[in-house]
Amino acid sequence: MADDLDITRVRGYALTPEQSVPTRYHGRMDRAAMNIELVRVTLAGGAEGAASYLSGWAGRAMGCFVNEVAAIAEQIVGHNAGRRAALTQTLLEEAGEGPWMGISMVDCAMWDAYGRAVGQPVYRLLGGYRERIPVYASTEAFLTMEEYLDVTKRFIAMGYPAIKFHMNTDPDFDLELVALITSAYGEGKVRFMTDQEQLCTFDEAVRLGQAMSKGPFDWLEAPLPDTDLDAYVALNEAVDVDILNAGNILVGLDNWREGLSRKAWSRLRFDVCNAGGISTAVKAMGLAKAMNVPVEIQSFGYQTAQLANLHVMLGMVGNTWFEHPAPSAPFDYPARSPIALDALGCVSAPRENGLGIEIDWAGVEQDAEIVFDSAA
Amino acid sequence: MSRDLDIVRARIYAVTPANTPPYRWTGQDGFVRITDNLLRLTAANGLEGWASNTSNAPHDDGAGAPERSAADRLHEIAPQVLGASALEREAVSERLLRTCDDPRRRAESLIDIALWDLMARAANQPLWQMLGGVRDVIPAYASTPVLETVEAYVAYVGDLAERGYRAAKLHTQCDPDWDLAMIDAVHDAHGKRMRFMLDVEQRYDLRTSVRVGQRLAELEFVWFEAPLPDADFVAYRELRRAVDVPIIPAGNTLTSLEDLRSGIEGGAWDHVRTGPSHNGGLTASIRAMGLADAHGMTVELQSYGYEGRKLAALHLALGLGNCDWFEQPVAETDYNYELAEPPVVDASGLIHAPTGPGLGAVPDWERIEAEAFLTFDLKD
Repeated sequence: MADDLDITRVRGYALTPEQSVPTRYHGRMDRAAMNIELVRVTLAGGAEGAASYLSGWAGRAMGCFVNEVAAIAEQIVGHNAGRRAALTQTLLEEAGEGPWMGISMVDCAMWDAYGRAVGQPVYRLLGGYRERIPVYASTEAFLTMEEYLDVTKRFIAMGYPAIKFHMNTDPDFDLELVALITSAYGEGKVRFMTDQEQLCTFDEAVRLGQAMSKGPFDWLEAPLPDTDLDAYVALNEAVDVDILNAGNILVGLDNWREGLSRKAWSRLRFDVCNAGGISTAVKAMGLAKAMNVPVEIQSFGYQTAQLANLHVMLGMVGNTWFEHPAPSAPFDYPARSPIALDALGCVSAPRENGLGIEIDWAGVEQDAEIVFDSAA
Repeated sequence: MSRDLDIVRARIYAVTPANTPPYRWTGQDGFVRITDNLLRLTAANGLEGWASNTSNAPHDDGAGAPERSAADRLHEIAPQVLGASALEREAVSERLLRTCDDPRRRAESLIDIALWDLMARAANQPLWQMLGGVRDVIPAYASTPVLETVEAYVAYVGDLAERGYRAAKLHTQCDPDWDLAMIDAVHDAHGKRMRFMLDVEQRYDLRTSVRVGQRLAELEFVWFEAPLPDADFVAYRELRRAVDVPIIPAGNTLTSLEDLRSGIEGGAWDHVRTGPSHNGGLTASIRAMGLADAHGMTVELQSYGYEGRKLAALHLALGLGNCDWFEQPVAETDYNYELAEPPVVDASGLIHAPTGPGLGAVPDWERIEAEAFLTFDLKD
């Protein structure tokens, strides 16, 4: 068994899936390509594991995260997937400050491969806390109010119990949207969140937070730069709505501990695909539980990324919502049977082992624009 | 969800192993008799998981009844695991700990560990690898009994060094003058080839702790354990300001995650001390290790007891990584009872990862059934 778990090959692929749609996260940007950077590890016994991250935004050229994996391939090949957390720890110690897309993807892919090799879904290896979790629709950002109100109606009709808007980030526009949502849905059961992509000034964030606290809003996410903990502390004191970090920039156990200890955030937010993988998430969940704060793991990405995060949410106690990119179809790549919203407004884990995703690797190889192969 | 790993039977055994002499961990206490409490869970598909922990009662020359409150408590809550699945350990742990009113949480811990053991057996994986597999070997320290003379300590530690141990944790008389003399003598004799910890079982006051702690710092002790009552964070913080040796608590009385966080945030300790067999199990311990890691701390896990307790701590330390030492009670034979092949410390003072599935070994249940003074058998 031990030898069967040895990693014999690691591959990376970067491509723009045919079904993908260029997307904007906030109103001040042009639509950006949604490239997928995929990692694939193969074990001696034949089991394979996969993970992914997005590129195409903020100067992240296609292939940038595949290159990160290529740079550590010599340390990956020959390592035993039974000792995946040892490799992740070593790589993180060598890497310095995060976020760590390459290392995190490799960690998730090792958990996937390990779960397949030992015949269990990852969330059951982690603890098997539950079988399903409530979902919010995570929208793109729009330039007109009509588009926001239209997708709201559409996603509610589809059965989403909550919606998170990637906001326009024009302060007046955002306040108007909050007022419209409060007036239309303030008495209903549907919950809302907003994501400001770290683009507010402090005063804008206070005004927005105060407005949101009177409406059906669960949280205000990433109003300020992730690293500005002082401002987050002041904001969290000044408003009643829950304040969340972006979770993309300031990552790692020590940073999360600092933010939570100082009460910079009401909940902890991170993405296993850039914050040290599932091996690190196990400890982050312990930290959040000890600090008595809910966790809102990020799962905006393609299926491989959604699933890695979903397994932590299902395996361990503490996370409230699953983030589903909506519309979801462009982000279903590369799964043959993607995660789907159920009649309860929840998603469940696939029944298959590992992360439970079935990938058409031949198709991926055919479409890949950039390929790395440790065996080449 | 497959129901193969649903628990259909829970058996509880309480034994007083004949190979364990009456014990005490300070010179100020009476001797106690040790009871080994074992939990054995059987799943619908026939796979089994197990766990164990010790309890004790005053030694009264064997006249009184043996300690049975731990097994009784296990009997009280074990029905809650019947029908639950090893696939949903985190949910079982949440349910049990939410309603737990026993700060020692031993029964809840054994249920959780046995479920993890069962799960890892179902995956045919050693538990430490299922947890992540950060390391496959860890240094052990010999956790000594209390001896009556300074000369006896010097000889005893010399024997440990000869057998390969590179560290020893001294349980002592807990009389500070006597303790300081003993520490100096042992260090003089063996300080070049051994490292030391001191455990005084919460029996010093602050002044004494500072006095002894200063000497431990000069002698570069690995840590000073349980000088003060676990919950006295104020005194612990004072002590840490005054001495330059790492301070850790006993870890027996503060078991909840919230208590551990309060101690850490209160600046009471340099590292955390707790153990999976009494703080709620592996599920709870994983969280404690996450909490500690986020503060740059290790969790020095307790494993003073029989093989089940040792193995649970060993797998956790190896799986999660932020634990520097494995506690091996000595004399080893005093606490080898459950297994035909107990985990062993090698000639370099190291203990290696078990290779079998789950905890890596299974007790000889027929023998334990025959020797148990108390048995419960619960079926779904």
